[in-house]
Parts: sequence; structure tokens; C-alpha cells
Amino acid sequence: MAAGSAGRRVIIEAADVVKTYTRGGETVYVLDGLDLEVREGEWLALMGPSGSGKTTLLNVLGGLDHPDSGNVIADGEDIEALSSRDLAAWRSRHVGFIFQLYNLIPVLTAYQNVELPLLLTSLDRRERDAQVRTALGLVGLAERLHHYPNQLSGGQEQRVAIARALATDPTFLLADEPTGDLDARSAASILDLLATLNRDLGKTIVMVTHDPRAADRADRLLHLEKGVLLEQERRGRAPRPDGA
Amino acid sequence: MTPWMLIPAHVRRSPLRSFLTVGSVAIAIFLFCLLRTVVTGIEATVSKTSSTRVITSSAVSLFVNLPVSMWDKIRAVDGVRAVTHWTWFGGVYVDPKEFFARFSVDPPSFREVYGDRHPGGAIYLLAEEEWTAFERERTACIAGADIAEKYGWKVGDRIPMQGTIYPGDYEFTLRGIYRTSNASFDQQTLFFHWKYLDEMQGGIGSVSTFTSDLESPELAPLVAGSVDSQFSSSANRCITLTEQAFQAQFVAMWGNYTLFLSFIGGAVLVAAFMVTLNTLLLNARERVTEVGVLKTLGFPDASIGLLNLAEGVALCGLGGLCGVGFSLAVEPALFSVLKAFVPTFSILPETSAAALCIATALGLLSGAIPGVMAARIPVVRALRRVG
Repeated sequence: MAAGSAGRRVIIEAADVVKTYTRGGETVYVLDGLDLEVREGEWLALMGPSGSGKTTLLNVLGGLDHPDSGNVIADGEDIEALSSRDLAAWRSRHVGFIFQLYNLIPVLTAYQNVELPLLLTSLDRRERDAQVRTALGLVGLAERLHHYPNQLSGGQEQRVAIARALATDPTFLLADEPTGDLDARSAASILDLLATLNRDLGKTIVMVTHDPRAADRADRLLHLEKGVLLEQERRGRAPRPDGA
Repeated sequence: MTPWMLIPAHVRRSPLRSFLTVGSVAIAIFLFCLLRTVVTGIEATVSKTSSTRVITSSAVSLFVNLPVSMWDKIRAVDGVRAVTHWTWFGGVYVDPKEFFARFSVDPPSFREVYGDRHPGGAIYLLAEEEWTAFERERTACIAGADIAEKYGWKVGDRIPMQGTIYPGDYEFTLRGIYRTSNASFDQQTLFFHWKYLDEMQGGIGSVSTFTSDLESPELAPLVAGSVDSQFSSSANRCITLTEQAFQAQFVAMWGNYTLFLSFIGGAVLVAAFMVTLNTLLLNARERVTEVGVLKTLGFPDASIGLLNLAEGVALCGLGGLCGVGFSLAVEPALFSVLKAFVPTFSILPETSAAALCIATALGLLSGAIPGVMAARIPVVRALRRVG
């Protein structure tokens, strides 16, 4: 565990999580009795081959999917006990999602995309405006407020997606291969941004990746294979590219 | 909270698709307004008729004439103030396609019942000298302002007419151009002397109908009974109806036009519904990922379903507004085309309101199916459509 997060409270706890699919009449265990703890302020990377259950685990942690059995406690709340509506509200308060393909709404500008999750809060228009400008400023896109996704580069789109994930100041970020669709330079820049969010703002990040360079930036790396945690690497924080 | 800003954004996303959908609804609503107005116009024409006039026609058929000798007997019935008669002439003016109604009448009694000598006021409005000229000259005729305008007729013009039911070459002199004070009576009919017709035919001695003007509306059943019973055992059995009942019977000869027009209107609306539903289903299919994203962000299922519903209502509502707006814009042009058949053609506020309600209902129905689909799709399945 990284020195920075050691001793901090557990913010996500998955206990004996089982998730199965039926394929051709056969039951496939995607998550097979998985236990996991993520501490506040930690950056956790999940690696593993395709079909190992990484994305499924991310979906379960984020309340997008339900395990067949087991519990997920996030910020002290058993999310499996929540109704569909309450779970949606919980997601809007606690989870910021970052997708591989950004998943911005193409008919909305960068500003409107970031404003979307804020519509679920009690903020008024002025407060939302401040929040959107802050989030887009944080990801370095203060000058691209009114650009549509198709007017932005892949890296910029991912930055907007990160701003959207940050806008409501969620308890933790779930990133599913955030650099998977980017060139090396854009990928490095996104990883720098995530590192800043984790280190300077104390954001807890759980990231699925295939990219060892991305995994290297995390505090901790877990390997998943066939729904089982095979090994757990604990490491210190990776050095910043600038050597700091 | 529903992200309403997505609705205009989505409508703008495929402008051609949105335009075609709005256009199909607009055309359906325009047709609804048109057909509905034809029905209400006919109903209004029937309902605005007088309750002090009764019409006597043959009990066999409207196309069977009655002997003119009945006139005196009807005039003698208690409660009858005046009686006139009409005879359908048919005929051809210039070309068989140039159709307008032509009747032969008895000008003095016609003036008594429908003209300036009626104590309740005239329906056919002519200057006194025009009435007098019409009465005095056997080949005189009067014509409605609309056909006079259409053919460029002026008072004094000669109007040739070829008889069809009553063969022969007729020539009338136009002595008056009338307007009507009651919208149920059109301004597209030509009236001429029955005596001229009788003469030309060497004595036809018969008329199509008699119209009796009563001293009061309450006398209508008594007068009708009395007239009909007088001729019940003769070869000329007749039936006497109030003007309203007679018009309704005349309209009924066209068949169940309300059902027919409703069927056409309904079919067009169903077609518009299918077009709209198809558009919204296509849109929904293209936006499955967006639905997944919205659900991921925390928008409740109901909000997302509502978004589809609102999009349907927005598209159809816009189509409805365009349809009603277009109907009102072309109403004068439609009236000029249809006034011969529907003299009271006018788009009523109730018709516009019903059209907008139907458009909204179309939107709700079209939006409901994709709305339910979007609300029910599990978020993970929606996101899996990515890439």
C-alpha cells in the first residue's frame, strides 16, 4: 500500500463477491469470491487479460451491476441494499466514471457535458456554472467550453470526460482503460492529470488498464484472472515524470 | 431532474429526419382539420336552417316531381303564411364541367318566402328594383355573387343554358346579383322563372318541392301532418319536413360521409403515428450508449423514459402547430373551393384544439414505446453497445 494512503479509512470494501454469467448452458464465474479493500486517497490499478472480470468488478464497485452474492460497502453504505432509484442517486453523489471511449454526449458542448451530472444536484445555475468552469479549468480546457466532442481531439475528449467525472466532487473515480484509445503522448498527459487529481486533490482512483505504463503510475496493482485476484503488488508511488 | 436540453439538441442532430417527421404530422393534422371542418360545416349548414319553413317533396323520391296544382291546397292549410316552389333544372352552361345549381322558381312567392317581403327579413339580398325586374320579365334570372364573380357576369348580361332534364336552348337575362344573409345558403345558385321552363316544355305542370313559410315554428308538425294527409291517398303522396330535417335527409343521400371522412382522417393519423414511432425508435436505437451514460451519471430510469416521451411530444406538437397554422393560413382558399358544397366552411377553435390534442397524443404514444425501452434497459447492457 502506498505510504500516502496507509492508515486511511477503507472507502470501498468488496467481500466474497461472486458474479456469474450463463453461456451455452454453462455457468461462467466472472468474479469468484473476490475480496477487495480500497483506501481513501489510494490509486489502485487492476490488470488482467480480456475476460478476467476487470470491467465487471469496476461495474460492481460503481453500482452499475449487481453481484450474484457478496457485499460491496462504499463509503459506509451497503450498495446492494439500495433500490434502483437510490442506487442511481448514490452513483451521482459518490462515483465519477471515466470510460475508454470517453462516452461524451455528442450533441452537447464540453460545458453541457460537464454540467450534466450537476443537474442532479441542488446547485442553482450560477453555482453550476462556477463548478463547470472550475472542472474544465482543472483539466486544462477552459478555452474549449463551447466546443462539441467532434471538435476536440481524443485527449481533449478524455479530459472533458474527466472533468465530467470530477464535477460533482465524487467520493471516488472509476476509470475503465482511460488511456486505451489514446496515442502515447495523450495517454501520458491523461495519466499526469489523474496523478494530479490523486496526489493534489486526494481523489481515490480505481483504474482498469492493459497498459503497464499506466499501471506503473498507480499506488497499488492487482492482477485479476478468471475472476480471482492472483497476486497483489504493493508499491510506493511512482515517480512523477518531472522527477518530483 | 431531467436533462431537457437534450431534446432540442437531439432534434437538431438529424435535421432532415426531424423535418420529415414534423412534416408528416403536420400534413396529417392539416388533413384532420380539413376533413373535420367539412363535417362541422355540413352540420352547421343543416342546423342553421329556419324552423318556420317546411318543405314538401314526393314521398317516393326527391327526384319525383309533384303537380303544381298542389300549391293552392298547401297555401290553404291553417298556419301557412306563404308557399313557393323550386324545380331542379340541371342544364349545361358553356361546358358540362361548369357546374352550379340552377332552379326554376316562382319569383313573387319566392320573394315572399326568401326575399324582402318576408316579415323576418330576407335571406336572398337584392335591391328592390332587382326583385321587381326579376318578377316582371319571364326570361329574367338572378345569380349568386360568387358565380357572377367567377364568370364575370353583370346585370343585363345574357346567359345561355342548354337543358338536360328539360331539353331546349334557354337564354336568361341577368336582372340581379344576390348575396345571402344566412351562411347556410350559398351564393352560387341561379334562379329563373318556372313559367319560362313550363312554357319551353309545353307545360310540365310539376315542381320538385314546395316550401311553406309558417306563422310560427310550433305549427310545423300540424302543418306537415295536414299537408301530408291531404295527399296520402292520391297518386302524389308527399312528405313534409322541417327545413332542417329536409337538409339532413338531403345530406344523408351522400351516405355516411362522417364515417367515410373519419376513416380517411384516421388512416392518415395512423400513418403519421407509424412514421413518428419509426423515427423515435431509430433515434432511441442510436442513443443506447447515451442512455447508458445518463444512467451511469445517476439519472433515474423514469427521467430517461420521460426524455423520450417529451421528444415525441415536442416533434408531434411542432407538427400539430404547423398543421393547424397551415390550415388557418389556407382557410380562405379552401373556402373558395368548397363553399358550393359547404357554405359554412370555417375552421372552428374546437377543431384546432382537437387537432393539437391529437398531435400531443400522437407524440405521447410514439414516445412511450422507446421511452419504456430506454427506461428498462440495464445500464451495463446499454454501455456494452459502445464501440
